[in-house]
Amino acid sequence: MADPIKKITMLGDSSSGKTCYVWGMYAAMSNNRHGFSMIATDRDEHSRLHALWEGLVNETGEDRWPSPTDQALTYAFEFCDGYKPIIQFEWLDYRGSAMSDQSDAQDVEELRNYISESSCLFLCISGEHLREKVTSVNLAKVLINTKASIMGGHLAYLSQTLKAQKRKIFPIVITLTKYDWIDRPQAELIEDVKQLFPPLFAENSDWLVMICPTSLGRELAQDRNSGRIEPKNLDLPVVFALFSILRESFLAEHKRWKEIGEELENLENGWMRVLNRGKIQKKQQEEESSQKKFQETRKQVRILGQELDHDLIYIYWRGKRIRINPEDFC
Amino acid sequence: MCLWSIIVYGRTYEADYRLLAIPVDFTPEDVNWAKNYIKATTRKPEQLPGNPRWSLFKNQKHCVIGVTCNLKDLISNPALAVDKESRPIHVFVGYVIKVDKNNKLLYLDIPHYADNISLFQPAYNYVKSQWLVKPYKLRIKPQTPRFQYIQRPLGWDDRTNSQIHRNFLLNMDVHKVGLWPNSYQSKWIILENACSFVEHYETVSLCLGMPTQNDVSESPFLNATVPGVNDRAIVDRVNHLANNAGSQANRRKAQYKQNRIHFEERISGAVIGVIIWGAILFNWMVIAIILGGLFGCIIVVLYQKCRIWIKKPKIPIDSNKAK
Repeated sequence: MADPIKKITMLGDSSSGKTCYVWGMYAAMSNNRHGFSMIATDRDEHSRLHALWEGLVNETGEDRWPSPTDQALTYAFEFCDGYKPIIQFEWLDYRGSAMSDQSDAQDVEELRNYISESSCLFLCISGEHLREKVTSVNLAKVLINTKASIMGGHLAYLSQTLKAQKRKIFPIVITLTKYDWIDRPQAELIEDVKQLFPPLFAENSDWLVMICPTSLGRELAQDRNSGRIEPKNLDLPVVFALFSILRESFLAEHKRWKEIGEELENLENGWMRVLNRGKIQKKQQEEESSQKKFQETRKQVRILGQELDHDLIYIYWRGKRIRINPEDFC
Repeated sequence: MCLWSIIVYGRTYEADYRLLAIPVDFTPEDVNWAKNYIKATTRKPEQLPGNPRWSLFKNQKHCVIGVTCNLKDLISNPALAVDKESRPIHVFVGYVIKVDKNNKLLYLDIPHYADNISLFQPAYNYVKSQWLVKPYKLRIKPQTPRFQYIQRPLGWDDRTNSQIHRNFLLNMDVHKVGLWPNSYQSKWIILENACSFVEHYETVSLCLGMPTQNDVSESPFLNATVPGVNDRAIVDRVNHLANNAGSQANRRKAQYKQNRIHFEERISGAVIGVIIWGAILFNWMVIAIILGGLFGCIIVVLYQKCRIWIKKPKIPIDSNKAK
């Protein structure tokens, strides 16, 4: 049976850069290194996304920017290894204020449901609000402007939902968009971001969190209408999300392979093995295909892990910064 | 002259998309009804500059005629057509007329289609006062201003006895969509016909300039002009999402279930056949043999289950250690 389609949700306020991020990310992921690629399952959507990105890169003036999003739009993507689809996932782009509105609006309910069904959550923070160092004096203002408090609320509800449904918690990516607005040391900025979501970085926190600064172009903070588009880090958050999804599949497949092996052993050692010949043969085939699948997944996880094994990538687990070690998957 | 109220949907300088004006008698159901149509007209907003989308939709209570466009195309001050981040804003601006109990409009002075959308400008003027409203204020006390039905000197023609163009009959079947060429002439005639249809039908809907056929299929509109359509076509409403990969797994699952049911039915049929023929030909002897075999099989299966259960390891396998 085909794997269920994964869902990724990007939470962020209106004008935090969610729509532009999807366009840029799609362009960046279309031809990723190491033979990976991403493609929209709907060909028309593929053409549209490329055309919109082209407009953003080539146009100047106010018209280069997209209109604010007023309705939820779901993009269906396929992540491929050598053009062979390995993960299907959906990405929800929605009206930013739906995150803060009350549930009487239809899209608010839709967004909340989508969050609870997701496999990875992106929190989108605009760099415009983090130009200055976060202190006790301006913390309240920064929390309001970035909508970090509202996102924190969503995380708390999500945590309860996952617990009630006995589901595993999933990775979180804090995407710092419009990084071009920030002119201060990256380490200081990361510490400031951590202050906005303290529960995610607590010692007893099980959330795997990545903080990733992204930008569409360093000239844009000075000149948004004609500054050059030079995307930076747009693919890394998605690579991390896909890495996490694939790692889960790898672990699940490995577990399955071991279970099949044990069942096979039981069958082969029993006194009824002659009668069970057909069943043994079937199990042997299952074991072989499971082994092949987990080895394939291990290779893909290792390659994606290599992209994340970088000094400038900040991944945290239980309050500590960790590094993805591709050797773990050798 | 008709009594018209207004309906406006759009974004303001800081606050996100919402209804900025509704008629005084709109219930929450009416709001949802209108919003579904309006949101369908705002799909692919990147195509809106210079291409306003006219729409007309009617149910047993109200009839709305409006236009979805970039605000820059509607008002003269460009500074008031972009949000705080200088992003272009699109709006839906429309007029609403009440339909009386007998499903009749007393007077029908709906405008003719035109490139010029200035006739919708007066409706937008009513909501300009909301331009600087703060988003948090809307969250504390959400409210949409309501407007009375009044006579508006819009200078439109009375269409009560207008002629129907036989070659442009609108689709009225909810399971289908009527697709029409997107030329000026086609838009003009279809809107004229729609004006005649609203007199006689409870539900009529039309959007002039939908981006694609899929967008029409996924919308509540029964008719639309679409770029690339050369000739009138009435096609089945296909849920485009069902064709997406998103539901492929579900469809495969359903297909598998269906096949499984067929397979089980065939097996049951074969078993019944074997029993009947066996009883006739071999005077119950074969049936006794088959039953004996089945009984033996059940004993073996039960034994195997017990053996696996006894031998099952008690310590869970830690998959994290596997490398």
